[in-house]
Amino acid sequence: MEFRSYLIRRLLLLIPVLFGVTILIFGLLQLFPAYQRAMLYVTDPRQLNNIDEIIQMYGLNEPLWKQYFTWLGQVFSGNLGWSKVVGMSVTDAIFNFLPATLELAIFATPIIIIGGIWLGTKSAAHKDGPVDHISRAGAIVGWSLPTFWFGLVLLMIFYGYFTGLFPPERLSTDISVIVHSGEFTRYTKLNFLDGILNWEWSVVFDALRHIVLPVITLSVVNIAFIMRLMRSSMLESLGRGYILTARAKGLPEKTVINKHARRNAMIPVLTVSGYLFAAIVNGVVITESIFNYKGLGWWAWRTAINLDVSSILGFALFSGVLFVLTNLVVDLLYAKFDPRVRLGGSIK
Amino acid sequence: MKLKPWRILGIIAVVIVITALILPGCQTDKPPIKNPDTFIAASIGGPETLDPAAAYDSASGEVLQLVYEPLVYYKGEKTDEYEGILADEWEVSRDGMTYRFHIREGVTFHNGNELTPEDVEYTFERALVQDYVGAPTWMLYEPLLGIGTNSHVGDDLRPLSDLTSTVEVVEDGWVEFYLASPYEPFIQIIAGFWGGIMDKEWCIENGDWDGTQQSYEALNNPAANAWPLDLLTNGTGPFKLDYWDKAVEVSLVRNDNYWREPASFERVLIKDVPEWTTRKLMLQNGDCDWAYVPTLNYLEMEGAEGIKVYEDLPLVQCEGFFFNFDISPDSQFVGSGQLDGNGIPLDFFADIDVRKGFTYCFDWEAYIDDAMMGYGIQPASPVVKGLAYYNPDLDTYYENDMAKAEQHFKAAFGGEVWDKGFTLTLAYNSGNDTRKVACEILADNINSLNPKFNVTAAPQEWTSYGAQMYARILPCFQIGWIPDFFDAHNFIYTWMHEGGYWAYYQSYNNQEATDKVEQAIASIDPDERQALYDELAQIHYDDCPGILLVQPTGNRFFKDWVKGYFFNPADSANYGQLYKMSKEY
Amino acid sequence: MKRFKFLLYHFKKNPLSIAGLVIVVVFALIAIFAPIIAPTPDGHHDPYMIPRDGYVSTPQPPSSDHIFGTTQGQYDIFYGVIWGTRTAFQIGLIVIAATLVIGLVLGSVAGYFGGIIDEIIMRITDIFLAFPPLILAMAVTIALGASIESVMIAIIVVTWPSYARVIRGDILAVREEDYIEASRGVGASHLWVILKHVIPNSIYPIFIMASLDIGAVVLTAAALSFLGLGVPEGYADWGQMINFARNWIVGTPTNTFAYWFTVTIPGLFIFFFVMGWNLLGDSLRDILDPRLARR
Repeated sequence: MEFRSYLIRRLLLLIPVLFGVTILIFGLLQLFPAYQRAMLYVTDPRQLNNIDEIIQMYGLNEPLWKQYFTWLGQVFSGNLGWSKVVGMSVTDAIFNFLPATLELAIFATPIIIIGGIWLGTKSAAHKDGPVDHISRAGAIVGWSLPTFWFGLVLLMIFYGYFTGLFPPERLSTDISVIVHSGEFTRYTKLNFLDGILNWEWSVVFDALRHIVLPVITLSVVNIAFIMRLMRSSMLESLGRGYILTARAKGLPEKTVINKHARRNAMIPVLTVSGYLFAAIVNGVVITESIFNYKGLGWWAWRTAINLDVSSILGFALFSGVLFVLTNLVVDLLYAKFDPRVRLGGSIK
Repeated sequence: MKLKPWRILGIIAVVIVITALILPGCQTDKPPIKNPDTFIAASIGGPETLDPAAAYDSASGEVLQLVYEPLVYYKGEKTDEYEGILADEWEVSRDGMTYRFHIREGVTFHNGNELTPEDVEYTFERALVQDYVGAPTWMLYEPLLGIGTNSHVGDDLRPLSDLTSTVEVVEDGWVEFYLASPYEPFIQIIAGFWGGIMDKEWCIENGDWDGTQQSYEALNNPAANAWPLDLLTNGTGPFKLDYWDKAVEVSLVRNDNYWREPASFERVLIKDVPEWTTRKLMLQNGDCDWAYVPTLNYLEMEGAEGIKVYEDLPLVQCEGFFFNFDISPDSQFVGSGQLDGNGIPLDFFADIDVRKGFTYCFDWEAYIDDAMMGYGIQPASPVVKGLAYYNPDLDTYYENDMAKAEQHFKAAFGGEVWDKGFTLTLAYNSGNDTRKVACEILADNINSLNPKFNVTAAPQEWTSYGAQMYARILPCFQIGWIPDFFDAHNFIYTWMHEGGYWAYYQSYNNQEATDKVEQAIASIDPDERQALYDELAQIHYDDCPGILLVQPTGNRFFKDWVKGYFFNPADSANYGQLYKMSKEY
Repeated sequence: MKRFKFLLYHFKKNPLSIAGLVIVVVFALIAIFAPIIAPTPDGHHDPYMIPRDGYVSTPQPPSSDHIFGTTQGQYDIFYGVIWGTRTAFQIGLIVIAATLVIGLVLGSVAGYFGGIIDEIIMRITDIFLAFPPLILAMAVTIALGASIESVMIAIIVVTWPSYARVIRGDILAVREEDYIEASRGVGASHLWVILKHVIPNSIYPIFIMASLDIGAVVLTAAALSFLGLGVPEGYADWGQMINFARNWIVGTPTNTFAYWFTVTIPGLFIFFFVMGWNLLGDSLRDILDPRLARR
């Protein structure tokens, strides 16, 4: 199969999947009775009188298929509903909270990948040595740590004892005022980046201070995951013929490991980047909720506990589509560089 | 040289340790005032909207009371005396039907426009025109056009002239309101944040009602947050809106052209901090000047340094437990729906002995001590302390009396309830521990009377709780009331008038009570009103349509450098009136 | 049998696997003897609801009455973590069992019949795999309403597709082998072939995967409870106990770590439980199927 036809096949496959995603989301929506979905539009108990009117107005008692297409039409026009919890439309809320989460991901992702690969390589290169044992034990501990508990313990230490060193939320009060003032332009809404662009170092420093604990919380579990993967992949690649040849040729051990073995061992790590994306999204919900860091994950959590159905479904749809696209890109890149995959047709 | 990752980690660790050692060492006796020119509030939840005619939640009110000003407001800590704000003089006609206000001169809006009597007329007409379904506008309709009215008559819009004729500019800066019938608390309604005066010219410029029929039709009862002034503000108040970062914070800056002395604070930041731990930390560190502290957390704040606590403030609120007289057949809480031991009949609570049996099983002492941590008192009537016509001498209290409870249960349904027993689930909205405890107390005491009684408690999500209350699915419900104004009418109507919010949802319909409520509000004789409200208290006691659980009291927690706070239950903000406050030692 | 001896031999050689086994066995004993270790007080209806000592919010430190102290709302921490062990096993085992059944049925049907049936089932798994798991689980839990059943259903919904896929893959591999062709040749029915030949041959790796996942399943359930979406308030569940502790991270003005026990104790229970399963799963995986060790 040519790469192009593979690409076309994958893109075509995307259609039923995305269609199915919307049906699944809509199906979940149907688990709520009509009056409960109407409650979303009720802000005050005194408005309960008008529920029948609201049900009529939004067609909540229409036949299912009709509601589905109405809803789908709304989704296509970018209207995902109203997010009661934050008082803006779901689409606005996604764009409003995305930068905070991106900021978190921009710091956490390289730490996770580089840290994991580095530890995994070390561990494999010194198989059964003390470094290997320590990092393997560390990986098992990290892998078993409940993220939310770890975050809370960090909070207990840094709120309780090292008070004020790593504060919660995204910005300190005085800095927040600077960021919102007329002289400060919010180009990207990523605070540290805007700080650099505005040449306002207090903002950069403050943004970084606020992000340390969330990034640590988000990274620990996932570093363990990448490290384990990298270690086994590295061990396998160290056992391969060409490595033995390289060693036999008398190349220094460092070159063998860093140049030859690691390069090949990294392929499986790259293939799980889709999985890593999902793991980060999962982690973001928990991390942001713990540190009151107002990004997408925080919003998803608030909307979920307040049963803000349109928001939680809108967010699920958004993250689902993003996840599908990420996986697609990963698979395409993988297929581009490793032609064997295409022949099988199946990716995993 | 390339830095090895472990070296970087090492450096970071050293920095952390050094900073940690230095930080606690810097403390002196009186720490310097942080952000001395800014008042920072750590609150929960943000505003719904900034349109004074649509906002009905206290978070919106917090902001609106800083930006907009009413004609009159409550004086100091009083809820029955008033001072002129944008009106410098006012009078009420002898028949109680006409209210006259003289509008203050030399006041400007934040955009520089001057305040005129036409602005006042426009403000109230605009509110009547908009009449958003979730808005407090019913409070204007009730005195101006009569109880139960709104902008519709049947399915049709009410004629515009009906609305605009209720308020008129008359000679020399006077504005008059013409009431449909006497309504003593009208002056209090004007004082609410929905009475904040707006700039006519600016409103019209921004697409709001321009006085025409066409615009009335277009703007009447809009979809939620779809009104033109949802995010825009232009008031006369001591602060103006700087920015509103939704779900994060609202920032206001001082109005230096204020018609009185400018405020002491240059800036006010109201932050939305849902997590209690964070608010607590902010307050302890002085990163905020006031924080919202839930009643359940009062205990751990005891002995906190640098915190000023205002204790046991009499909140004008009432929490009630309501019996549903006519339960919907769709209810999943009534078991078999029969009086066969496995459920309750749908008219279970229509029997007065059942209601009294339940009421005598409630233990106020355990409830107030444990669930309210002592912060509350048992009310004798829906007219609680702090409202006009509150009577401290009433003795219409129920008490926990298991013998009387047993007697009533034995009499209920001709003895059938006692013989056959019943099964019932009490719902509460999940997360509300106080309501949960109330259910548990009732359930434990009722179950202890007779092994055939089987009452349990079950949590419901708030959205379904509210919806099920509406659909009459809940056999009984607990809910509280926060005052719109400080007159007996606001509470007694809600509890006892057939159209009152809670009475309506429990299908409680006592014609005598309804008549007396209407008679009382239309009276201009204070003695007559007092007598009627006392009679209504007696009816509530005899009829026992619900249990009056508690009137809560509350504490307010400030950083000790905040000066000038006093408690007035009419202030939307729990931190009081910022205009009169400052930060200093 | 030979395989089992092989397993046992390798198992004994690895100290980590012994540690894992010990941890899991200890937890299993705690779960089995929960009514003896933490007896349910008289007159308490549901043993899974943690008994309360009053209604006051502030946690009380460990004492002779409450050896681990009480958490927010005076729920006894000791009782909660002991009975929470049962909850954890319930969630882990039921979810894994249900996932295995669904995965086996759909996976083998897809793998064995292939063609359009395979295509449809695989596209359905695609849809479920299109979400970050926690997000889908959150949406399902709130749609079903807070209860332990909803949590389990939500986790089953997010885990079954990957099982179905792995099983399908194995079946595809097994199907090609000669003896399957042979039994088809003598006229055995589809179902018979699947049950008798295909499943027994591919079930090993699945069990390994399952044992690895019990820890992860319990962790996801705990995360949902922690976010306030899981079990009803007062249910003996570790995640919820950590959620209770959220408000007590910062101690009193005089004692920074005044409420340490509310966070630490339930957290350690989750941690060791998950670690036990991970150690066990890891070593089983290494021994039984080196091919899978890449995961």
